[in-house]
Amino acid sequence: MRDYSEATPAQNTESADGRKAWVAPTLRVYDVAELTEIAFAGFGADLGFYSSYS
Amino acid sequence: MTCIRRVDGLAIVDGKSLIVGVRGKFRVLDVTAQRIWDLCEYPVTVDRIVDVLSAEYSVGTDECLVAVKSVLGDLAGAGLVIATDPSDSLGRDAYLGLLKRAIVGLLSVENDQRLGALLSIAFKDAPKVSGDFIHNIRYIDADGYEGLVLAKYVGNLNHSVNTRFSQSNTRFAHSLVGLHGLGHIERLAAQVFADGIEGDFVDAGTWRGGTAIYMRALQTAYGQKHRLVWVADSFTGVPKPTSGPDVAANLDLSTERYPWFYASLREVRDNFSTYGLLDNGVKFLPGLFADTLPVAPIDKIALLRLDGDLYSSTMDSLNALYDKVVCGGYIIVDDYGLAPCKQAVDEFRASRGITAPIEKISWTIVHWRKEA
Repeated sequence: MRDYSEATPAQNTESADGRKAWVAPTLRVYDVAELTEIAFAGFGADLGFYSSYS
Repeated sequence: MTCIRRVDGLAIVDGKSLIVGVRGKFRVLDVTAQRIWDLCEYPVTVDRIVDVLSAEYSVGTDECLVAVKSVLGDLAGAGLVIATDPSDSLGRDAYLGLLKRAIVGLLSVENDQRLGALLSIAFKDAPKVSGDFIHNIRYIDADGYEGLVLAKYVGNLNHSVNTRFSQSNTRFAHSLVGLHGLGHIERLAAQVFADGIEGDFVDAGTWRGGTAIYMRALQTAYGQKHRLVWVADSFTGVPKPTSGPDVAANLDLSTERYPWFYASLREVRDNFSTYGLLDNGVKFLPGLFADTLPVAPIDKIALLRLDGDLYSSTMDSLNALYDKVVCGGYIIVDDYGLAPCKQAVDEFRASRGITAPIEKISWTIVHWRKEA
């Protein structure tokens, strides 16, 4: 059994004024061949989770 | 002043990355680039993007401006953002933008996490949690939060960064199509309005009503309330599979197996009322599609959305309603990522000689426009 009673937020990455740390945006060109594989990877894997609380 | 607006096409998630693309050009966006993309949902100036980002992040405006221009330049080169005139209705944009986020649950993602934690306590191995844990779960389970946001953005059922309490996007939202899926309906509806395409909107398979609610919101916001929204559903959950393709795929999404796929007529009507959008322009068709759709008093359809999951439901919907879709109207298929649904659509299109191209906009949603 995991104990979350003393869990605390992840390491604070905010600046003193509360703004989030800046990470310069990045873009990457995507390979279309990868796309088909991921985009239609399947409902089945998603459905696997559906039954976990039933 | 010239504005920027993104061009929505396909959007999917890979891990923590959002992938967007149109016409064969795709870009993977990191978290900061995703925020820029998000801010381009409606016409926006570069100055406004910098203003928001420099308030949210610890960055000076000069450095931020350089970064934003770099991202927008790349996206523009790929055809993913375009220059556009300022919006003719900032109020409408603000209303629809906020409404979409409410319907998919993006305003309360941490509540999904909290309830996930409580469900885990109730049904699993009862981890010890504290009040602080429940209060701060967004930050304690930060990966889970970010994953849920992405799932709700693109309409995934769960997310690819599994954490203990934040896997499922299916429990509490009013729609599972995601912000991108609602934006897709918005884009097609706006085109229908702009082109003067006659007809009502139909939501065949509505679950908790989120997509139909958004259809009525669009009609209202664009001054198109003379059109009707037809809401067809069993309102008793997804029927058990009986047709060959559904049985062969073991596509059993019935209430017996997945109780949260059930939403009653009462619940859907109440959800409409919660958003202030239940009026006499919303017509409900409770029952199996095979029974209700062939006799529904629908005249013309401008936007037909099919979300019946099964081969049988999809085919019943197409057989009953396709001929009522006017030329220039759209057919949205929510479940093309399911093999039996895809089979029904492909068979129907083949039988009718339909060659209008299918556009994929997510891992499962597609549409085509009816041609003369």
